[in-house]
Amino acid sequence: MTAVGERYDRELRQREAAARDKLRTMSNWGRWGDDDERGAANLVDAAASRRGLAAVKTAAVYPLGSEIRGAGMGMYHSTRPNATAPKLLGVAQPLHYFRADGGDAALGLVNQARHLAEDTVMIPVQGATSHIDSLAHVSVNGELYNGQPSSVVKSYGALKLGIENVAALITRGVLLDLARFRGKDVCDADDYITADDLRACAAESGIEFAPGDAVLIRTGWPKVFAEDPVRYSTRQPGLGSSAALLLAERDVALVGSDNSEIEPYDGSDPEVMRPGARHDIYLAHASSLEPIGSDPRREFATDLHETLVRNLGMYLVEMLDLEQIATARVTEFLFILAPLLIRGATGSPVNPLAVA
Amino acid sequence: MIRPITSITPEVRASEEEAERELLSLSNWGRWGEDDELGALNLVDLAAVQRGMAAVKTGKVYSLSQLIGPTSPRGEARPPNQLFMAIDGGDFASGSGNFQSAGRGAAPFRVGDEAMFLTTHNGTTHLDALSHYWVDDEMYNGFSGKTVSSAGASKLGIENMAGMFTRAVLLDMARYRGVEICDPWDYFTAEDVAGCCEAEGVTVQSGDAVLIHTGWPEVYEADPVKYRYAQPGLGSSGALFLVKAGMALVGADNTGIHGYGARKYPLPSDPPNPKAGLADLHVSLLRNLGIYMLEMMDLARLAADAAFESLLAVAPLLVKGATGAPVNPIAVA
Repeated sequence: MTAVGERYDRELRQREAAARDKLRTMSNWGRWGDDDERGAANLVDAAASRRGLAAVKTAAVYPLGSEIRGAGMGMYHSTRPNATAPKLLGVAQPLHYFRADGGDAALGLVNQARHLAEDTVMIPVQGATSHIDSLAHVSVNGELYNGQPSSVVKSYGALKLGIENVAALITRGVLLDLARFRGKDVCDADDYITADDLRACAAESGIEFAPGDAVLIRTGWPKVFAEDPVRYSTRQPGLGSSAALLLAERDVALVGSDNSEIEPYDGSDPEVMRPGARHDIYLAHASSLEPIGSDPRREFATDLHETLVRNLGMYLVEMLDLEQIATARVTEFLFILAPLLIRGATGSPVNPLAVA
Repeated sequence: MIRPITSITPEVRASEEEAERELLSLSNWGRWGEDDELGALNLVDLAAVQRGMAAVKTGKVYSLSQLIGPTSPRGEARPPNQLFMAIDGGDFASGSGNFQSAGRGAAPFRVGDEAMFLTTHNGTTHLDALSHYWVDDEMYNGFSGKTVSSAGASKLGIENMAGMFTRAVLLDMARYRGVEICDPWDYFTAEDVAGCCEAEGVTVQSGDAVLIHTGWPEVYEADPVKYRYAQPGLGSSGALFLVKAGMALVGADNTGIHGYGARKYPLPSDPPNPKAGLADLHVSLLRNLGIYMLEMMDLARLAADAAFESLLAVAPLLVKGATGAPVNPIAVA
């Protein structure tokens, strides 16, 4: 095992920087028309869907979404654990409140013969649970995917590129279990995944990437949250420039992972940390969050939200829970993703399904 | 004596348009400094506070807020206020709450707790911040509208107006008209306002808060559609009269002070209205003059006791960067 800083040798740094430069030149703007709002969802054609259906062997179904565990006063309820599903520091926890519940019946306030329980849920789209980003999520220099001005994203919703344009994706999914490939339970925080890693990992399962594929990358990172919710938000393993370039060149439609940003991320960087993070750190009984120090991966990593989402119209699905499917050693499957059709949203909480 | 509603004759329309032009020509920008974010709160000086304290006769305390609940008046296009119980008696009754082992000896300790969702503007009794309204790119005192973002208002947020303590003058326009509830088309001119002050024996002075009772909230429970259709409200000449008298805050039990139907740039849903276009007080009062607007009050209790003068405390929730905040104003008469 190599120590932090040693693992990125000179050759790797040069190769990754070159991949980054090439990735930055790639664009799908105009490829599917000047008015296109679906981006790489266009790659999920009948052939891609049939390829997905052909991957179904036993019809075992694996949910890939993280559990949504609502905040409230759960810490006072002895029957309800306060442990939460992975979320980033400073992002509000999903809220889950009951408008009518069994307690009302216990108090004799309602007709017990027939009583409905009803609830309300509020969920931050990004950073608090498994979610897909819409193409309205990222703008650079005032432009979103396909040249739409960032001004189309209003306080009342995105007039263009909202998540409702995705509607549904049914395609072939492949799982690349990078943690297992590394011989680890959880990838190292400073892990940087290259194209060679993806090729080698895919080759172990005999997988070749095809247009319209959904490629899911397991790092095991959600396990960190259970141990240390503060460390979860600091430096994370992520997909590097050459790996993203490879997937872009193969016309992959969607890249998903169980980390929070797909790309290498370091939330201990004061510039990245959200205003509410301090309170979350306090709640986690951690006295402070010491920055790990400058992330050496910055020198050659690429902003995948800019290159993949904004330039290429590809979809990123973050904060997945890939433990169950990884344990089952499933690597090829039918991938089904149906976002909530929240008009004008920059994404949606989602529970994609894998059918093996 | 019953005072008739001012009918909007061509002559009244012409004089109200003239009053609006004069009202719009007035500005307090720069009056209290280039960086001022307090606006007319600066008018509330020691004399105003002492005048308020001198108004206390019986010591009776009045809440001037609507109840925050599902049957309270709210305006159009706003989601309802919602109360979400986080833990309640039902949890203990059903055996899912367990505080007995909380180290308080033999006595179990139990707790009710909740979260709430409040729609400030048009959702309940609220105070508008000076960042609530702007024209072109300029808010009160020339601050840019660009300072109001999805992160909140970095200038003129409601937290600047931490509290107001002054004399309140109640203009009971319903009483003045001799009705329980003012007519929906009612429009208060300078003549009406002066007449009401005279009838009540009050004089508005610099730093006062002026509260206008129309009785309109009574309409809501029976007919929410009528509540939102057209409302009685303060006209341009009436507002001009009060501005010249030096009011620091204007409150009313309608929405928008001028009430629905009078605004300058009506929404497509606004009804045709004889007073349409005659008053849009958010621009003149809030944005140009920095005068606070306290809307959707419940003034029925104060009016029932004919408490025309009182000591008023207005303490909005200090929601950083909010363009307004729910408030429970307290009057002591």
